[in-house]
Order: sequence, then C-alpha cells, then structure tokens
Amino acid sequence: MLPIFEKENGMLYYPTFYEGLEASKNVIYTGQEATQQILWGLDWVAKEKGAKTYFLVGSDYIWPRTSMKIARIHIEKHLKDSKVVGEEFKPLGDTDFKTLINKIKLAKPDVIYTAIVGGSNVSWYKQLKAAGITGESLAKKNQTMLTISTTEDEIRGIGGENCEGFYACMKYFQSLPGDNNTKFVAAFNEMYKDKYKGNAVVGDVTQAAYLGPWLWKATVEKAGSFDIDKIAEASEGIEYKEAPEGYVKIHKNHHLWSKARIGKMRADGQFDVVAESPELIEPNPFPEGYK
Amino acid sequence: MTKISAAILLAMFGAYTWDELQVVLIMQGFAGISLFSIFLLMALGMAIIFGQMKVINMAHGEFMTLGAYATVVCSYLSETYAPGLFHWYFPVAMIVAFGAAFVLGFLVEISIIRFLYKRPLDTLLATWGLSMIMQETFRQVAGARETSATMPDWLMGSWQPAEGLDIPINGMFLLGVSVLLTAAITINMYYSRAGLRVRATVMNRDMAGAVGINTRLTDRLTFALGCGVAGVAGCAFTTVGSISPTAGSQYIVDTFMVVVFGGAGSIVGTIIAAFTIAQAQSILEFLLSGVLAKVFVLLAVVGVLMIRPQGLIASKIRK
Repeated sequence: MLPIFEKENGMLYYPTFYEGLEASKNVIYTGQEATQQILWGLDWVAKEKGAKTYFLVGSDYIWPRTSMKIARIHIEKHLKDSKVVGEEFKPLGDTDFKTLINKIKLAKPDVIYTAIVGGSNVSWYKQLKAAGITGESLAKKNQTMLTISTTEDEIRGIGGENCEGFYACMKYFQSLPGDNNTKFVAAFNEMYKDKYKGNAVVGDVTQAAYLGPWLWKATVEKAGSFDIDKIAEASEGIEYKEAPEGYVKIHKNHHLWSKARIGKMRADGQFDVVAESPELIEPNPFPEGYK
Repeated sequence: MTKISAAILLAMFGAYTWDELQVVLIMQGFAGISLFSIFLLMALGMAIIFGQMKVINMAHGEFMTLGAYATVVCSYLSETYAPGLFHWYFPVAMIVAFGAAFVLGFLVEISIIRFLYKRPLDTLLATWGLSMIMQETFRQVAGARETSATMPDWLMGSWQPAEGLDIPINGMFLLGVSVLLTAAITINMYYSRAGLRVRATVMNRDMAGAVGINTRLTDRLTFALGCGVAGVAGCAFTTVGSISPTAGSQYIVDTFMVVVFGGAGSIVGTIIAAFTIAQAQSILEFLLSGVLAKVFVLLAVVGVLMIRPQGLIASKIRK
C-alpha cells in the first residue's frame, strides 16, 4: 500500500494499531503505534498487579511479532525482576488453543499478554473458558490476562460471557466518560439505528477511523488547500478537541499524541475503564532500544 | 511410551511437581483427543464424497460455514421467540444445519456436479468457484463480522473431576458428536440397503446400473449426505470456534490433508489419519511450538504420501 500512496502522492488516514517502524509523509496514523499501546500497559500491570512473570501469545504475523518483541525488551530491561516465561505464536486463523492453554497452565505466569486477531480470537476465549480460565479464576490466583487486540467489536463475536474479567489496553473504549464520547456514541447509534437498533458497538479502531476525516478537515482549513503536499506539511500540530477519546494532536512524525487506557471486560461486552495514563503519550514509531 | 514421554517431560519441566505434571498431561491427552474429533468431523463429509465419486469438494468448508450460520439463526430464534426452549436448542440446530447443507448439496449436485463426472479436475475448479460464491453470499447476508451463536450453559465451562484438572465440556461434546456421527455413517454405509447401493455403485457403476440401482440418484444422495455431514460439523464447531464468511477456508486445508493422508474415501483410513495427525500436532505443539508443529506435521504428511501416494488405507476398486 505505502509505495502506491507515496508514488501517486495520496493521503491515507490509517486507523488501526500497528507495529510502528514506519512513518510517511503520505500517511497519518490515527491508531496507536506499538510503544504507545504496550509500554504504559505493561507498567500498569507490573505496578497494580505486582506482576513478575509474563507469557506472551500472538497470531503469527508482523504486528504481534513486533509487539511481543517490544514487550519482551520492556519486561526484561525495564521492569524490575520480571521475566518472560513463555512466548508462542499461532498461525493466523488457527482455531485450536487447547495445547497452548495447557502450556500456560503449567507455566503459571502472572500475566498472559496477548495479541491474537481475527477468527482465532473467538476460539481463544471460548477455549480459555472451557479450560477453566476465566477472569474470576485468574483473579483468585492473582493472575491477569491483558490483551492489546480485543475491542468491543471482537467481543461482539466472542460473546461477553467468555471475556468477563480480562483486561485490554487501548486508547479508546465505548464506555469512556466525557461529553465528547457520550455525544459521539449517541450520534453513532442514531446514524445506524436501522442496522443496530440502538445497540451499535464502537471499538478502538472505529473511533480511530472516525478521527481521520476530522483531522483532514482541520488540516485542509489550516493549509487553505486540498493539495497533498500542503496537507502533509500542515499536519503537524493539528488538534482535534472534540475527539471521542478526549483530545488528540498530530505529532510531526504523523502519529497522534494519545492517552492509553486499561479496560476490564464486562459480560455485556463493554469495558469498565480502570486506568488511564495521566498525560498524552508521545508517539515513537522508531523506539530506541526496542528494535 | 508413556513412561518415556513422562521422563522426557520431567527433564523438561523438572521444576514442577508430579501432581501438576499429571494434571497437565491428562488435559494434554484430552487436547489431542479433541483435536482428533475435530479433524474427524471435518473430514468425514469430504471422505464420503471423495470415496463415492472421486469429486473433491472444495466448497466443503463453506458447507460447514452454512451449518454454523444455521446454528446462529437457531440460537437467535430460540433466544427471541422461545427462551424456555433455549437450553435445548442445540440438538435442533444440528438437525437444521444438516438439513440446510443436505438440501443445498442436493441442488448443487443437480445443477453443477452431475455435468462434470467425466471431468474430475473440472469439479475441483467448479466447487472452488462455488466456495467463493458461497463466501460472498454469507458476507452479503450475514455481514463480514465475526459472529457467535449463544451457547446454552451446559455447553460452556469445564468439568473438574479433581483439583486443577479441567476437562472442557465443549471438547467432550465434540468427541461425542464425532463418535455418534462416525457410527451412524458406518452403519449407513455397511449395514443398510442405501449403503449397499453406494458401495455397489463405487465398485462397478455399470453393473450396479444393470441390476437396477439408480446410480444417478445414489450419487446425488451421497453428495448431499457428505454436505449434510459437513453442516453438522460446522454446527458442532460453533462451540469452539468462530463464525465468519471465510471461516470455512481455514478448515479446508486440514480437511484435505486428513482425507488424502487416510487414503481417499476410506472411513477407517480417515479415522486413522485424523488420529495420527491430531496426536502428532498436539504433542509436537506441547513440546515445541504451534507453528513448528504445523511445519513438522505437514512435512511428515508429504513424506508419507511420497512413499505411499494412495494414502494409509487404499480402497480396493476394480479399475
């Protein structure tokens, strides 16, 4: 994709969390890059839950691979007395997690840290529950499952009853307080009322996608032009104060300053927001010492 | 064998107590068995069709998806209109899944497959095309999102015969379904008039026709039966997996591997192949990692098939 946007000089507002190691004049990254999503979340679980041992699980492609690499470096170098006791990747779309779950049971990590995507997600949560691993059973043993890949959107497919009590680190949850978000969710429901009957689900990525056009509008107004070069030039410092997630600003590396948040999954498919980074986190797609 | 592997495991996991290891080994044994039942369920329908008419149904996975969506519909209907019966909707969903896939399979045979019996390679292409049409239809009708059928309580969670030992209920359910289905198919194939007609047609089509067997109808019913079985498998998989328009394509590779490895079309071969591959996969995954296990299993299957291209158990057919 990137070479085409660069060659044709187009503009892409790219909304999903991704592995970083990239920055382009022709892209505005409205999701979290890896360090924004990972580092603060790991710090949180180490501090709040006193976690020392981690089992990393991901789907086998570049985003989880890179994310887990960053996570491992952070755990081993920056978290006191902490270590990774297991790291496993499963082929994309794989639906059999029983063996992996047994290995996790044997390793007894304080934290199961996951980046499993797509159809595998559903199997993963269903089989965890079937193996007796639930938010409740983990809490009893002072263990935590923290994911960076499950949003409200996925839970809709997984079924909230399979997810209750697990944690996710995102920058946006549908249940975030604040006028911006309340208005946004109400408007979203109004717009898609025929389709979702007032039960629309908005996940992290949906929100990040929603930011795109507004950021573009603000940039065009600042640049006074639709010209791509001028938009790329004018992007730095563009703010969007009405963002559902609160407030975002475009960094000169074309990523967003955003907060990170921890949500605890509820049976109804929504999250209780239990923690929030105090400041906006600077995007750092080429993190020194994490490559 | 168990002693050796236990010794190996002790060496690997020396830090654990024997009790802990025992529990995990039992669960791991069950993980292998339940993967076996998944493979068997996937492969049965395809084995029936391939064995009978040498048609490789590339849309097999989509018939499973159809069964899965039928289950979602049943779960929704029962939740909305008959909450009192929700507890027991699953067996009904299974029958509906079978029916839906059976009927569609019957229609596909009439409209596509029967014109291609003399061109086996073209059936590959035609059913592949069919699989894409079905995927896109699912996408249009049900949407691209992952969905789930709501499970009744008795299908969720685990059975705990001892402290720390969790046997997944959905795994036991899958095992039960695959055993029953295999038994039903075996009885149907070997101890019923319908089965006799199928076997006669496979062995010698012209002669079977000459003694008054309607071989065309037999083909049609066998194809539909294979598809129906795929539908039941799809329904059963909703307890462990996800449902999306392309979910079927995730299963087709494993299905194909089991059927070919087992020896095309032999039910016994299919069972043995499913068991071997599932055990190899889950043991290797336990000792190594998921990705490596897949690599080694695929290599081993390729190796065996190079030495024995007809698969583990070859059906005896007069050529």
